Amino acid sequence: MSVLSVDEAATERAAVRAHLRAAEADCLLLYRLLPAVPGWSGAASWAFGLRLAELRARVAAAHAALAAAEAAL
Amino acid sequence: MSIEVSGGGSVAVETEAMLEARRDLIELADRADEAYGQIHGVLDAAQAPAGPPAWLLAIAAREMRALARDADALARELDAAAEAYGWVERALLARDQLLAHLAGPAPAIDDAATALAASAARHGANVAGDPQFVRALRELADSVSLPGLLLMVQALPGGVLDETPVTVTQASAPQAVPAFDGFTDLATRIPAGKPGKPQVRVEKYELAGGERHWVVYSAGTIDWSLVPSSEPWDDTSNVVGVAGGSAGSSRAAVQALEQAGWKPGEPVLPVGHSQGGIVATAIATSGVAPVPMLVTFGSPTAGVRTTPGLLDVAVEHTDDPVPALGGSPRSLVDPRLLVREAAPAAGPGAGGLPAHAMTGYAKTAIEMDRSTDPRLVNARTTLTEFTGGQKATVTMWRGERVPATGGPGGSAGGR
Repeated sequence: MSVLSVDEAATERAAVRAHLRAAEADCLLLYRLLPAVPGWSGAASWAFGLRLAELRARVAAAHAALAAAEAAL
Repeated sequence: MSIEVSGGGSVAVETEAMLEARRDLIELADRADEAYGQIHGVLDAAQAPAGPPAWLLAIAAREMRALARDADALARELDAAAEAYGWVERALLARDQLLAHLAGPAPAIDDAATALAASAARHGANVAGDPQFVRALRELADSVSLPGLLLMVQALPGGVLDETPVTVTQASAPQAVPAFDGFTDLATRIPAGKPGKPQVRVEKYELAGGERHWVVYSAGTIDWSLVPSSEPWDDTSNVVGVAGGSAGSSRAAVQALEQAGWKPGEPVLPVGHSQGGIVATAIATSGVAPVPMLVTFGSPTAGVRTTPGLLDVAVEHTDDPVPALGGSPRSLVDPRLLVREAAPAAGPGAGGLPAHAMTGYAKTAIEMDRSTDPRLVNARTTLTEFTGGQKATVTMWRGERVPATGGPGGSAGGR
């Protein structure tokens, strides 16, 4: 079993935090890539909107989990 | 507003909105996959966080993986939806054709009259662009045997719709211009179609290998009277051309090509608006020249069977009644590459039919040049290859009708 010094542990945490922040920034990009609900009419547009809402919810869940993980480090 | 592209060897109907959504979803799936890899990398590292941060990272990774999978699935479903939409459109078209044929001329005329009355009640004078009226007009055109009707009308006294010989004269000195660049240039180079002005523009391209290519542009209807006078771009040419006969305007355009120096066997790309589309289609289907592509704007030529393998690009405004006069495509799967949208604001013109005006079709052509639809991208590549990037030599031509008894000006060439 290896034991890290206080400095080494702080460096590791900073590296992990940097990775998490990069992943959080990716989430912002993913929000922007979500297509707008197009102007199609009727059920097709409604169904497409529902599917997009599911994708948006997944981005939001991942984003929230990353932010909470960073805070808990 | 967004153009809708259909046909061209595929049953898929795709709008720019669909294409854009699919592109975004594919990129979203790729990026989510990368983010999943990044999060997983943190979890797999030698000094990975433990406890709650690790649990939270596992949740984030799971969501990212599911996001990549779902976005990819939705992009694939958009493909399937486009194809299904295409099939539904074909089925509706086939049903319309069948109903029109079963109903026969009289009910179809009744339908058109009913639609006209209903439209008038709703929109006052602006009835011609009503989709219900346009649809009824197409059914009417499907139900009438135009060649038969033409023979009957021509048998009446008064010279109505009687074809005549034609002559052409060069209306401008040869001039060098840059090669056209896409559909916008094709649309804007079509002659304006004014009384006494040239109706035909001929461009000659001399390619690097010595081969010569030609583009012939034809104006739309200039004279709307049923009895021919001196103008070949008249209603006689409209009716004779749609009926599959040898219209004066088509013969004048071929004469212009010949006098400009075109030799049999040299490829021609015909382009036209309205009646100009009838002229362009007549050249493409006549077999007089190899024709790699035909481009028509607002032309009543849907019912004309073109040569297999010809790239037939037809641009129609959904509220333009003129294309409907050509009826429906002859085959169930429309062989044309059909580009449709409601007419952009075009301003007045084209005989009081704003949706038919060339200014509006030129705006649609701009959207066609911006489109990322692979069929339009391929069509633009064909256009570029046709000119070889060379400069063109342009000449303008004016056709005139010659009274049938007036001597050796040409041959009416049948009806």
